[in-house]
Amino acid sequence: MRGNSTVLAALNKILTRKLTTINQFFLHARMHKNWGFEQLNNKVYKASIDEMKHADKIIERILLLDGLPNLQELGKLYIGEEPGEMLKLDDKLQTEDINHIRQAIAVCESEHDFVSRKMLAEILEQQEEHQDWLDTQCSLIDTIGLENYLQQQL
Amino acid sequence: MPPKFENAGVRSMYVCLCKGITDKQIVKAVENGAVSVRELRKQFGLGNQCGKCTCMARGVLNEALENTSVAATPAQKPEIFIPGKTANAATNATHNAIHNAAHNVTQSYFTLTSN
Repeated sequence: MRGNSTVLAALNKILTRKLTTINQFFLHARMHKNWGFEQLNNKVYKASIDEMKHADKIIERILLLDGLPNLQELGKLYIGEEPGEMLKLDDKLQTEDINHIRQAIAVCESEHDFVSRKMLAEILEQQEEHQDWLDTQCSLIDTIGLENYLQQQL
Repeated sequence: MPPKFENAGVRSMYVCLCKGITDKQIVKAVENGAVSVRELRKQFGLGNQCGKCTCMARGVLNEALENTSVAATPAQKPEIFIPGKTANAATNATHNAIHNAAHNVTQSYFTLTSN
């Protein structure tokens, strides 16, 4: 099935962001693990795998629309040096991702590609959940302090 | 509650992952006299591999230059004319370069590129 080129470009852009996020979350998860913060490792590792599943959906959709998914392009990774900073950077990236998905949904809507739109909307829902978790962690660090917060993450 | 990023000064993150260069290292380099990305490239090999960090490195550099030029101003304030100790043209040029670089700062380096 021949897809709309505007939609394909939008999907590829989201794919690039997904691939970037997979890597950032994965590295952060294993850095948490290396320092002994098992709770953080579990959560962030799972988020990375979820991102990978989203990327898979987008790749399949692009192929179905007779496009070529670009797996070569990768954005800049924002890797922190300590756990608090890493969570903040993840939060920042996740927020940007959400904004881009919203824009892509609007593109799909205007081009009448309702199936791509539905797929992105489902991805967006999971993104918002993880962003909420990240927001909570950042505000927890603000309220109870970094040391107290990290003690709970062992 | 939105996380606070802006005006936080030095953060702790890797600017260049290929060479493992942190923003603190760049700020340190600026304190030691680096004023351009080219100098950072020479010193750290930053931006030689994938090149994705150059934009952010420039942001960190400009921010650091801005901070150091602000810090440097009070020290230069007592402008007492000492005969025989005229202002050095070379240092003036460097100071102008720092000043110009500081004016080019339009956004924090922390702002993610929207591609």
